[in-house]
Parts: sequence; C-alpha cells; structure tokens
Amino acid sequence: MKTKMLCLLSALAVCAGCVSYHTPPADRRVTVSPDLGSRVWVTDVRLTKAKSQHYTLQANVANNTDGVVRMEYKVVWLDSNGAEIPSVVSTWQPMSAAARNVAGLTATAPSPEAVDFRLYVQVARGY
Amino acid sequence: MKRTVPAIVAAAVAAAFTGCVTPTTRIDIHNDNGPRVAGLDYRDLQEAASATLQSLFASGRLDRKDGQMYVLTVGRVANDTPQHFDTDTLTSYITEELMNSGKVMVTSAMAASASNRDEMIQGARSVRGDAEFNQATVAKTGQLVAPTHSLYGKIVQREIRMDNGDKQVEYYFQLRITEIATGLQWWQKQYVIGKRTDGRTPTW
Repeated sequence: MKTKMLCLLSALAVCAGCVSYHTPPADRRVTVSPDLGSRVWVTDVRLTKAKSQHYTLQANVANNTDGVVRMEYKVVWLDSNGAEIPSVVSTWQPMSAAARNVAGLTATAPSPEAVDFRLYVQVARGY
Repeated sequence: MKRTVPAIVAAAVAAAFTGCVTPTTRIDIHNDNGPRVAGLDYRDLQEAASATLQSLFASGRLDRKDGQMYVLTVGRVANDTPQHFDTDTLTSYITEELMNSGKVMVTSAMAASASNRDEMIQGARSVRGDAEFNQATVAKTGQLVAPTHSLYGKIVQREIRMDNGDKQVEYYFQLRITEIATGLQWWQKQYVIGKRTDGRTPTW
C-alpha cells in the first residue's frame, strides 16, 4: 500500500514539474483575443526592474495545441494615473510557441513613469 | 455616324478600365491587416524601433545617478539595401522615444545628415552685431551644448535564393551608440526581420 502511495506521489511530483494548466489563469491586465481561444494561455505575468529604472514585463505563453501557434503581442504602458503612455514600443511584436510548449515574452516600458500595463495577444497577421 | 462608333468603343474601354481601379483607402496603422510586402514597410520599421528601444531601456545605460540627461547626436545610419528610403524614418522613432523618456536630449547643432541639423542655429548667430536685432536676445557665444553620445548604424539586406526558386530576404537593423568622450561603444542592438516571397518579387 505504501509503495503504491509513493508511486502515486512520485508521479504527481513529476507531473507538477511539467507545464500543465487545466484552467486559464485570469489576469485582468491580459487580453487574449477570441481568435486564439483556449489555444494559448498567458501565465506567470510579472513586472521586474533588473538593471534599469524601467519596468520589464515578463510572461509565459503556454501553447495547448499540437502545432506551432504564431501570435503577436502588444503591451500598452500606463502611468500612475492609469493614463496610456503613447510609444512606438507599444506596437505589435511577433512571437510563436512550439507545440505543447511554453514561450516567454518580454517588454520594457518606454519611461520610468510607466507603472502598469495592458498586454494584448492575438493571432499573427501576415505570416 | 462613323465618328460615333469609335467614341462608344473608347467610352466602353474606359469604363471597363475604371472598374479595375482599386479605390484608395487609408491604412489603419494601429491595426493593419494588410498583406505583408517583401520590402520594408512602416510595420517593419516600427517593429525594429520597438525592439531596439526596449533593449536600450532594459540595459540601464540611460539611468544616470546625478539626474542629468545625456546629449545625443544622430550620426550616420546607412541604408545598405537596394530600397530607396530615408533612414530618418527609423531614427526618428528612436530619438523621439529617447527624448520622451526624459533621459536624453538630442542636439540639432551637430548631426551627420543635414536633415537632422537646424540651420537656424547658425543663422540666428549670424545677426550678432546687427543693429536691426536686439543684441540681448541674440544667442551668446559658448552656449551650444556638445553631444555626449552618438547614434549610428546601418540597415543591411541579404537575399538568398531558396531551393524551390523562392527568395528569402533578410533585413538586419544594426544600431549602436558611442560614448563620444572615450570612443567606446556604449550600447548596440541587432534586430533581424526575415521574409520569404516569390523569386520574381522585387524588393525595391
């Protein structure tokens, strides 16, 4: 009995190491377009300041399909009042995620005044 | 009667051609669903500018502990492609964003291309001693600020023939900033955009 439990626990531990999400994580700052549906989920969204005074957004995009998903993403940066900071940095950037894999995306704010963001992900156009 | 027939034919031909003309429409530059082109268009320039700027912002190079701003001059950004376009279409994005960041000022007194220099800086100084001008309002000597850094680089195009006769076009956006006092390269970023198209499609 103990052996069975150990095996089960080991299997669970191994699975926990894999990227496996059963429900899409909800983050009000992230909008995934309906055309992507549940093909991808955006997870692990975080803001960091590494070497710079500018925030850098990092997020993972988990591809739930058996094929490559080509996407593009755009990050709109907001100041402390919630107002958009217009910038060429906020243009659509291409990215892709391999089948059943996770791709990382990063975006750096154009100004130290940017303290929040909105991330948009949609199917890539023109590919 | 003899003159009427050719006129009708000409009118019919003209009408047929009119039907083939694509009507002019505005591009929605915020959500452009138009097909990609083999050459460089504004979407490519914006994408390259965005990637290079984010690299610079994330590097921390622009952060000065003394709160002062850097002074940037725009050096030569070479267009090493067969396409005719002004590289200011790329560098304008860069300089605009750097100024908006509050960490960089761009000088118009010194630049590699005339379009980035303001002739009026010298022009306004040419009236020194001119009685027609209130000399208290004329720029004094020793007022111009020398640049601390220089932006330069090039855009390179490579074309590679594929086995199936199609063409692969690679664009390399190479931008660098030099610290003028030391001559040391202070930051650099290369960004690549690749396209595949029919072998007969020209890019210029």
